[in-house]
Amino acid sequence: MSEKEAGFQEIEHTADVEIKVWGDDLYALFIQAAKGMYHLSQIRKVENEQTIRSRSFSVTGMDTESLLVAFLNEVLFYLETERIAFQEFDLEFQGNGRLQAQLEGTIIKELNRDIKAVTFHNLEIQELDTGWQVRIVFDV
Amino acid sequence: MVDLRDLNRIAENEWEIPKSYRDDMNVSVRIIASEELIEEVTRDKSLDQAVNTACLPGLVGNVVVMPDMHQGYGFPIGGVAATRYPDGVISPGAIGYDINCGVRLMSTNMLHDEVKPFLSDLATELHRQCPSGVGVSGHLRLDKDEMRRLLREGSQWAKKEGYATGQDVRRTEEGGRLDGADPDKVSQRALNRGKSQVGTLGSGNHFLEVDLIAKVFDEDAAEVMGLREGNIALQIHTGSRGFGHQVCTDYVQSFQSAVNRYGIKLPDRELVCAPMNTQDGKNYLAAMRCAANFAFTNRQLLAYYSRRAFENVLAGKVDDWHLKQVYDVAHNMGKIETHMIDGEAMKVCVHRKGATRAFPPGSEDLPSEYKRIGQPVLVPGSMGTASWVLKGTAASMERSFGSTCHGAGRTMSRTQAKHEVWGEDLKEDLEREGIHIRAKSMAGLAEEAPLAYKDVDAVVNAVESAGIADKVALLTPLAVVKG
Repeated sequence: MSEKEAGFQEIEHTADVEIKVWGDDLYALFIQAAKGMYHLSQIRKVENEQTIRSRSFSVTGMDTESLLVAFLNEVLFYLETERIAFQEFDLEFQGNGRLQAQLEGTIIKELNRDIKAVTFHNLEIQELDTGWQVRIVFDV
Repeated sequence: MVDLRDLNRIAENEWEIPKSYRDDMNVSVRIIASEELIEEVTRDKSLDQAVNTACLPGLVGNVVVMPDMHQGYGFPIGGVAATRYPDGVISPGAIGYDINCGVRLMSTNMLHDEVKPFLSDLATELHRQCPSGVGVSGHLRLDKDEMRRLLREGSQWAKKEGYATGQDVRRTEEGGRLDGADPDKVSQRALNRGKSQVGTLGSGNHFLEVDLIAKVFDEDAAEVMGLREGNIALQIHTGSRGFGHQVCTDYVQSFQSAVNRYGIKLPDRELVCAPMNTQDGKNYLAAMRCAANFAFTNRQLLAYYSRRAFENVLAGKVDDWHLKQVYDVAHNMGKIETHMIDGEAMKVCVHRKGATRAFPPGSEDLPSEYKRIGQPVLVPGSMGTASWVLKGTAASMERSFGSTCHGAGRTMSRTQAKHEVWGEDLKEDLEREGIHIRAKSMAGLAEEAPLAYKDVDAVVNAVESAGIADKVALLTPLAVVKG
């Protein structure tokens, strides 16, 4: 997927940090949001880390925004408590407001910024002609 | 967006956005500020957020915002809102993600001159003894039962374990323990996040600081608090770490659907709430109290480690190196309190986010030694600038539900601060001024540069003019430890 089709970008915010995320479809959007969050956490990978860690979880939300926040908060949880950064994402939107996620990643060397939480601040997932887009604010 | 023209000036230091400004407001918004600061407060979305907050069900009195306000999530930082108990709502966003982020102040009998030769070593030792920084674990490994005890008992637990003196606990807001904390209402996620973080400073704008008591404004109150001009003091600013963040996250998420069940319409999703007499409301209160107790314990442990650091560096070199508790306050909290509303005593939930309780002389909730002077209020400035010690007043009960400001609000984004300030240069500048810095992250340091914050002196002048707190002492930094 090229950068134009899916990606993220950090934007100015007075007190905390914010990213703009875009993708062809919801899967790409969610995955790029996770990658954006790793970028904001300033993670440093371990050289030649081989061991793959697998985790799976499911989250529910009353709408897609809620699902996105719940998904990212789970990813953040694994980053903070187990130091895992996921590289492979297998997401299934199951209807009934449920998202099933199977993820694979490696343990990272360090992270340099603590994200306290993913917020609902101005959170609005937009479907445009070119794909999906959202701005997410994180409390740091 | 709210601008100056929408405000009515109702007193020297108070402005109002009337209820009529927007249809969905239940109460008015009152702004405590000064001529100097009022224009600045219209520059970000704080006032719009205050207006949104005024839409919460069950509000009594006014929503009050402080001169150090800045935009937050749902509720502005620097805000106070009270809801009728038990049928009014409680809103996690009006308390904050960092539940019971707060400040502890400890004083000493040491003069600056006595300690000066050892300051650099003291800074290093504090940095060594007090776990700080992103991803750094605390010294304690508590099993599930011990953790549950800590969450229920807060500073009382710390005292039983030998980390706190009776005076430490007595001179802490709520005695360092909120009753009604129930670990069963806290998620496994929160417990996991908190497990290795007990007794850690964290990062961002959290800090540990050795201060000079530079100037005393109220000799009597300062004497009672143990603050002498020319002496050394210690400040600890931190909160409930990942534990509290997760509690807030969990309830902001579950309340998204709760509001629909209760038929509550809100202009901002971060304001989600539940009436306190519902299971949802009770659950959050019980969980929030666990997080509050976690934070009180957290600051108590850091005080304990700081004492170790002081002893290691100063014992045998100065007469009396001991650190004595002045007070410990929360600035992100929800408390059930009784306030006079239109001449009637009413039980309310006071939400304070980036605002500090400032109870007056005579208040039942103060330790006996402070009943005569009023509650100590601790207002940290930004890194490298001054901090203030104030005391609560009777007027604060009338105007702001017994609350005042909490510190200097941010005015500049972290990205911009990093463009304008190079962490290493800032460290050198501060060191040149005689301030010893121990920081893990230079980029993190730049983000916290003084120029990114409002002027705390202007904020404190405004609250004093408004009568909601009085100046007691000014502290200036000698050594700063940051994660």
